[in-house]
Amino acid sequence: MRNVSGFWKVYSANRKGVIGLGLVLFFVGVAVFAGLAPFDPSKVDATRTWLPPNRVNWLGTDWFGHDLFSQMIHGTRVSLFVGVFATLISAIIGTMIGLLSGYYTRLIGEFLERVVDFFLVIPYLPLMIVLVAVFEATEIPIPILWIVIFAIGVTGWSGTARIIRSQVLTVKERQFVDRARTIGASDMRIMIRHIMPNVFPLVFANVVLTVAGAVLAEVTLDFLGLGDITTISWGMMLHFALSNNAMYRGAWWWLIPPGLAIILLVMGFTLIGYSVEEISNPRLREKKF
Amino acid sequence: MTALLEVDGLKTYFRADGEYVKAVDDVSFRVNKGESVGLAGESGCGKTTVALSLMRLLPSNASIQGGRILYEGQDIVSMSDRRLRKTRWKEISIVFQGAMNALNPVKRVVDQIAEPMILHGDVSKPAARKAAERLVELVGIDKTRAKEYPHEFSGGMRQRVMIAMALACDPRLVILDEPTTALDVMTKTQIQQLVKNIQKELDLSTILITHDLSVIAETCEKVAIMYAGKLAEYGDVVSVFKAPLHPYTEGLIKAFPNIRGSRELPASIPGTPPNLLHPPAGCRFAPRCPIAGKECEALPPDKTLETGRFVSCWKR
Amino acid sequence: MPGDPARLLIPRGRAIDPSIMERMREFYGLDKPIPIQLLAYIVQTFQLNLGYSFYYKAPVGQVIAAWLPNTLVLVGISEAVAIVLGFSVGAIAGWKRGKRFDIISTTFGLTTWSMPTFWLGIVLIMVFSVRLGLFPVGGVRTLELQYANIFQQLADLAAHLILPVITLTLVSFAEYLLIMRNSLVDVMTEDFVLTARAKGLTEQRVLRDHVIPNALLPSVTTIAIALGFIVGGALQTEIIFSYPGIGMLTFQAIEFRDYALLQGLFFIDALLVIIANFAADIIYTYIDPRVKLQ
Repeated sequence: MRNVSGFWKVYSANRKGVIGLGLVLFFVGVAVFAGLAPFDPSKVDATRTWLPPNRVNWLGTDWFGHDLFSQMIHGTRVSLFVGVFATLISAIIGTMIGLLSGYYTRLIGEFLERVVDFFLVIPYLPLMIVLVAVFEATEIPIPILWIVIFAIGVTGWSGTARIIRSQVLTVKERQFVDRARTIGASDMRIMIRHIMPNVFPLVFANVVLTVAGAVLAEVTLDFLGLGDITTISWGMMLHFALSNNAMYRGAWWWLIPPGLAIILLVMGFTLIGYSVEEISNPRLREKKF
Repeated sequence: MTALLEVDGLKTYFRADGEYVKAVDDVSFRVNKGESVGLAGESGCGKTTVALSLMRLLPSNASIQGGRILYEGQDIVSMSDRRLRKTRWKEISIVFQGAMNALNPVKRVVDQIAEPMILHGDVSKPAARKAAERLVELVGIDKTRAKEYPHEFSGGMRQRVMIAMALACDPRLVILDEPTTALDVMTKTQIQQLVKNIQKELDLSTILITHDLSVIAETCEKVAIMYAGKLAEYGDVVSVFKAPLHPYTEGLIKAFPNIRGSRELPASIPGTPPNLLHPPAGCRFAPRCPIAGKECEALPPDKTLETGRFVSCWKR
Repeated sequence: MPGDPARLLIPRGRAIDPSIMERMREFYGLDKPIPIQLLAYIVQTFQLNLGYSFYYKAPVGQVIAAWLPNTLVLVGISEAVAIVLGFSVGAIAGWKRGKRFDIISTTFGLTTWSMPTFWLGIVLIMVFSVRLGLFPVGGVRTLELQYANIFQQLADLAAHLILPVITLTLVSFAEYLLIMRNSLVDVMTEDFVLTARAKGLTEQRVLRDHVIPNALLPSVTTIAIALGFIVGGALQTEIIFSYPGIGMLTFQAIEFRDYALLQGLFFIDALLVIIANFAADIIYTYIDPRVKLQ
């Protein structure tokens, strides 16, 4: 599976992966073409509030008359954006720490391992909430969206670090690394040229799964009111739904669709992640000879 | 003499993307009571598949597509699952390569040996454990070690444990699949000796599967040479090794250096075995055979000589 | 700074002497810049000084101790059910890999795992409490009810617990399902499984005596890791169901900027996770004979 076309051949045979990819691509498409939404999501219409789905508003309206269908479409952008960028941060931090702590097993490695363990043990949601709350309170002029991205990124790297570390340790044992060293290859060169390619598939799977987690985290933070109240996101929609007692007013059209969208997007990334994992682990593959 | 085991035209194929890989294609041989038969051939020739077929332990993508396996007159291929389970281990048992993970890592050795005893016999757990300990001693391991776990034993000892386990229900036939391949020379010899002794003492029939002819030469009475899913030659060990009939057997023997023989460089057989997905129409060895001729483009006849020897070749 | 904690300590209505406020701020380290405070609280968490809660006007330890049992009951029951359910369904799914049971159960698990915990809670409340009126909407006990006996008390508790437990269980069980399924599939390819079959054991016995004991090994380690993420889920569940546990307490502590309480909560959370990990390690040494206690 050295090349891209070979990889695609195997990947496309895996049903999970194809469905996952389809879901993600669908949402990416929606996000890109969000401008085609029937209404401006922030447009209010006091005459059309609390309406269930109808011909004009396909998903009904909320307490202020916003068209929920358009809101849903625009919400896709926020979820994808935050999910991807937060994961980028997590991936970079996690990879660096993982590589370093795996390769240097003595002092640096031990210390870094403790750091990773510390972060694994700290409950991530309260920490994220605190980070966001603290940063918002300091009134540093960073847009709230980026504060959220930063908070999620900084709390979500430990899983990646752990996987990379264990992969590095495994690969390190293998003989070709010793051989490269005897030829005189420098440490950094070894890490990049020899360890990374072997480590890559599992890491890729892990990163994709991290995106899934980041999307869920973003939704939760928004729901709790910690995100940017002016942006429209699925989490924010649910936040307003709850604060306006949608539950008790039986406004299922306000509460259910955002949840379903979240499920599908998260599942999309999760399926991709699991199928890549399955492909890289020969034992888990469907066919066995 | 009625055969204990008679394999008649066995065909075992693997399913691959809608087509069949003919791993075992019309193989027949027999094993008599108390006889030790060696099954030799290079990797991929189908010998392990034969072994797994005998006990119907094939993976889900393989199946027996033809032939019969008669054990004491009963056809294993068409046996019901219930009867098959009763036959397994009690009548025929198998010893896998000990270097593999053939022993359950979380169960004590004594319990693994006792397990089939309790299953097949009407034995109580303590009695089975005692019997297991005796078996452990029989294969040359100290009785007190029986309650340890597999990871606490070396490769050679694990192989002994598997032999002890195979004998648990007093079977008539034991199949040994590459029993010494992954062991060092010293241990190899020990295990070979052990197998020989046990076979004599218990009057066991054995089928020993290996690519190493020297092991067969040491421990077996008869030998069957397989190539590309088919039987090339069969006969008693001495005559086959001294005067091989099939060109492939010749090549195999030449590949092993002989300490006493003339100082020749061992010769390897040029070429590679055929693709079993679409095997050639004629003799499967023809592409690599030094004496192949025009007639070898058709499947060679199976010649059984009066001496009991069998060979599948046009030229011999 | 909004929500100045020092303000909360002074009883309302009283004229505030600025110098007293200053001194209090100094005492609690509130005059230092925020990043220092953040660092200070991470550092202080390691000292056992749990401090004093601003909001509740009581020692932090006391406040936490009052609210902790509710969470332990909720999380304890939910995780126990999730583990048992996840492992058993996962084992069958792995054994029948590729067949209908596997596909349906894995898909179901993946779907509930992909749900935001709070959303599931909302949906359940909407269906069962608001529409059907079957279960109470929140809290842990019905305030107006005077319990006639212990059974009534337990019944009331159960009624309040059902929806939160279902929420937390559904969201967590998929992880256990998947790890058991995958480790089972791994184990099934091992040679000792072939040996077990060769001995004449029925498929069920092979599964029960050889496959599952080995498949449990990596599954137990996962429990330890999964427990670390429980707190996030429990927090959401408690908020939605107004359940008075430490998740809810954490949220309030953040809302009211009660840093001392927050410190203590973080500490307790981390402690619980460490204990759970430790317990999992110990259990692992018992089930895997290759690993000895150090």
